[in-house]
Amino acid sequence: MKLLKNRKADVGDIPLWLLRLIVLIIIIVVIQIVINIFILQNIDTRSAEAKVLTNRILFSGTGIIYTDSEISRAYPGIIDLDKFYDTNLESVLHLPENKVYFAAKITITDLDGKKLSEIYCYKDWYDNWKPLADLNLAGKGGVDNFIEKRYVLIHDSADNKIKSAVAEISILLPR
Amino acid sequence: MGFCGKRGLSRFFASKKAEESMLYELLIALVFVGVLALFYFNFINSLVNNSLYERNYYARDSALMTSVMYASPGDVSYTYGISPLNEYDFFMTLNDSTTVIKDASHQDVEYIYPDDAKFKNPKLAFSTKNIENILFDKSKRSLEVKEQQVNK
Repeated sequence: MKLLKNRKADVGDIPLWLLRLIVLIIIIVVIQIVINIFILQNIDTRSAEAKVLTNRILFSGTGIIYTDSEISRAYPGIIDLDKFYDTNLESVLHLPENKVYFAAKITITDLDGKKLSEIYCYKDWYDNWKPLADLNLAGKGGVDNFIEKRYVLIHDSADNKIKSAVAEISILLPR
Repeated sequence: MGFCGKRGLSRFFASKKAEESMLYELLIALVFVGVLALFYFNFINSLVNNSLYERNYYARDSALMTSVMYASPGDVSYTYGISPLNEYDFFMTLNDSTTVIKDASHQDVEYIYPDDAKFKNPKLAFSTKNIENILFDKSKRSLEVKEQQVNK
């Protein structure tokens, strides 16, 4: 009964407790933010990874580059148009189906900018992620597009000639 | 008026009952602060003992290293020194396009890298304790990764 009688007074204490609770929550949030600033546990290596993938595309002897079969010598930087197709690239950058974490597109143009050929590595994923990369959203769920243009040579077995070209390599890496 | 008025704080100083009530409030606040302090001490302590950063670093670095080996157009071998890593007792596996670093008491860290389907790809599992180097050896159509023990 006494408790019931004091209900008015108890109600009067509510603003005090609310104020204390708000101050406490602010303190906890600030401490958490300060701790999180000083803890570095996530290392972002995606830019280095894109570079390594680009180099693998252009230098790996088993990939799209020209190889002299008689002496088994690979010529880095010379793209063999006979090897320039999707499945060949996917075999060089092979990932199990459930572990695909990047996708790539290589476009070869001549020095005037005329498109000569284009291939994809994991095309379905590239098509899925490209709109997200174009949106350029920050944070998790976004996709970064690492584009690199390299001056290359192309070897065409049809006329057995080497021509100058530009390879644009676009690598999509989700965050 | 709020808590400073007639029904507010001032009434606590007026009677014994109010003092008792204030004591209870203080006790509740102390318990609350105690629980919070305990939580933060535990959190900081777990961070000090945690090797998540090291596991993350080595999982990524070994995955990138393997990927770099595939990028070379010819045969190449490389000795990867792991001197700070062998202070920890991690279990490292390299298989099926994935590097996994396990720690007995913590969560595994894994990192994916693309294999080369035209190669005999590395399969490896070892404890980092007493390991000095990891040897990467790429020749013809095979990439071998081997651990090298500390010479005592």
